[in-house]
Amino acid sequence: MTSRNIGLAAPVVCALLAFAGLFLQNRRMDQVSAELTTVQGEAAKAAEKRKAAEAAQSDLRYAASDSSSAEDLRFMDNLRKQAQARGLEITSIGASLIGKLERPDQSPADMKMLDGVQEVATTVTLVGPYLGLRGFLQDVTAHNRLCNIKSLRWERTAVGSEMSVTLARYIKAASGTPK
Amino acid sequence: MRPKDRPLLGIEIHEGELRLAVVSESETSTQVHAAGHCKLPDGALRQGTVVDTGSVAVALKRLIVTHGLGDYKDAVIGIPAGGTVVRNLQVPPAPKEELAGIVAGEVEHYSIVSETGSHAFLRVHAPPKSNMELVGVVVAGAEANLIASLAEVAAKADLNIVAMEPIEFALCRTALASLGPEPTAIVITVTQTTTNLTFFRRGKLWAYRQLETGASALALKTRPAEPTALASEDPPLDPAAVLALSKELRRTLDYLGRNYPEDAKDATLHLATNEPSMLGLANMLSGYVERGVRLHIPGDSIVASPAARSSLESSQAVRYSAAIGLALRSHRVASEIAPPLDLFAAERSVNKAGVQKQRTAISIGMAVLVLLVGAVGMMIYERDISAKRRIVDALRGQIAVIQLSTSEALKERAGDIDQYRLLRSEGSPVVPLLDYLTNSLPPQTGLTSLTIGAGRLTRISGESVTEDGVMAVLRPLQSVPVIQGPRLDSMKVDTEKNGYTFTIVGTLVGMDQVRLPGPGAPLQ
Repeated sequence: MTSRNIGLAAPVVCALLAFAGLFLQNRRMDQVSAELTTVQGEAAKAAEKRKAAEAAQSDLRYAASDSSSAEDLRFMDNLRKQAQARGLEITSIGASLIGKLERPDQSPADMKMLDGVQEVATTVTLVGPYLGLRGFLQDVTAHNRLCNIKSLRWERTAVGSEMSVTLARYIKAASGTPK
Repeated sequence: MRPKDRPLLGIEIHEGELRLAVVSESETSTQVHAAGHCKLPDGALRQGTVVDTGSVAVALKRLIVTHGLGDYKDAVIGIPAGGTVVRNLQVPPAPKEELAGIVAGEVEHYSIVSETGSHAFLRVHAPPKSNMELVGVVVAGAEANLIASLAEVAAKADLNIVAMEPIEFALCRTALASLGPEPTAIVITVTQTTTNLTFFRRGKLWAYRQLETGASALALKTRPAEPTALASEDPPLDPAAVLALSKELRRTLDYLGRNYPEDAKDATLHLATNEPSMLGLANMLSGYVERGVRLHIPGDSIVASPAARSSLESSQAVRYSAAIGLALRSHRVASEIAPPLDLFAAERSVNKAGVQKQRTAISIGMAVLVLLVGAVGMMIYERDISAKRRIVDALRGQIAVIQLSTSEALKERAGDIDQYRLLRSEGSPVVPLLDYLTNSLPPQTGLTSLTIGAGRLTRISGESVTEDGVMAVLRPLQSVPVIQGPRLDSMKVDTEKNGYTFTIVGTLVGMDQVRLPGPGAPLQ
């Protein structure tokens, strides 16, 4: 009887060992599955967050655009179209690169923020009705890309108004370009 | 192990009959519960060996069922007289535990049974005759084929073999069971083929002798034509054979008288037989040896249950003597005087070892199988866990990349916002100024020019018909947030136009002081 019990004990002990091993593996599997579900949720949230960030980025106002010859042409073309839309006539236009922005009164943090940014000034003279000139200025300054009015001279003439305005826009210096 | 008080089946396979008895023993009583016999199939037993185990087993099972003994499974099987070899041996004295090995060596040396046969022995307690200090043993042996055939019968009859014992010794026990403790007696057991003379002195085996004269030799071969009144009760015996046997008995008695004069003189003579034809032998021997010989009939000396009483009351009850003696294996007195033999012990231990080996192998096999199944299961789990963990790691990597890029995008966006705010502060709020001016112009007042120069210094020039008109332009400007410190720089009378020309100066605030217009302006 005792030897029979001992004989049964070996498979029973092995079965218990096997069961214990499988039980522990099953618990590990449950843990990994739960971990996977959590991580999948985290991945989905991260992707959504990035998507939202990208979506917000596309609609963002910005100060400096990448430097390129196309940028200059595009800016001039936009000015012309906006003037035309307001019934204005551009009598003269000229641009000059002011270069690196240096403000002695600005903090080092602000200076760091402006590192690599260059200002381009464009002086444009327009002739036309007052409301057209006012609308032109409104269009230029309300654009997503920052465009500052640096100086302005407006005069009433016998036939309408003449306005000479200096507009400043900003570009990011291309790599290799001295800042 | 079998409980001692559980009834035992004693089974004797006789040449012509199958006999069984069920005996229970307790501390205080011995009782025969059942006794029965049936005819043995013809030719089933040949020279002491069962040749047709199947039919014997069937007959045995039927006999058991007929007597309602199906619940009894523990059986002592009797080894037929013709199948047993009994020898007296002298062996060197040795401790009890070493004696078995010495006897086994002697059995092999004298080829009492073949190498595969079984044997058992009883110690003879008489002092050795010579000074060589040898001790006597009575060895009983049987061949392996006989033991195997009896085991096969038991297995087929679904019985558990407690022991296998030569019936000579079982008959002796039947007689001893009715003698008191420590008897001094000569027990004569007559089987079909042998007569055995066993001398017990004060409850110890003192001498043993086997004669090759059995019931088949002692019985009269042909019955008398006209039986006498006496002969009608007792089967006829061959006087010449009985005389020869009595001579041998007297010779033994003389021998015992010479060697143990006091004890041999007091010894009583007892006859036990399993042959109903030997009922008259006790009286005949008494006459020849001039000493009383008591015939032991089981019903006279052992209590019988009501069910067994009818079988044991007649004189024919001697046919159960061997079966009852086998079942009396644990008799408290008889087993002390003549310890029971077991010629199946070696076979049982071999069988047990075989069964144990088989069980061990099955056990190990099952254990290995279970472990293998467990290991395979664990490997499958491990594989799946590893695969999922790889996915988790990859996803974590992706999340890190996404979070980094998102963080960089947000950081860049924050930088752009700060940059926008900083640079916007350099712009001039011209449009709000124009809107304030045009909305506050009183009647008969107009603007002629507007100049914004360095440092956002602003000059507003205009004309008005009245002085109040000029003040009406200046006063609201002083509360306009986009211009700081507006003041009248000059006011002149213009006679040509019949009015006043004026110039107002001030400093415009930066664009950062002005709210961004319209939706989609994240910097507000």
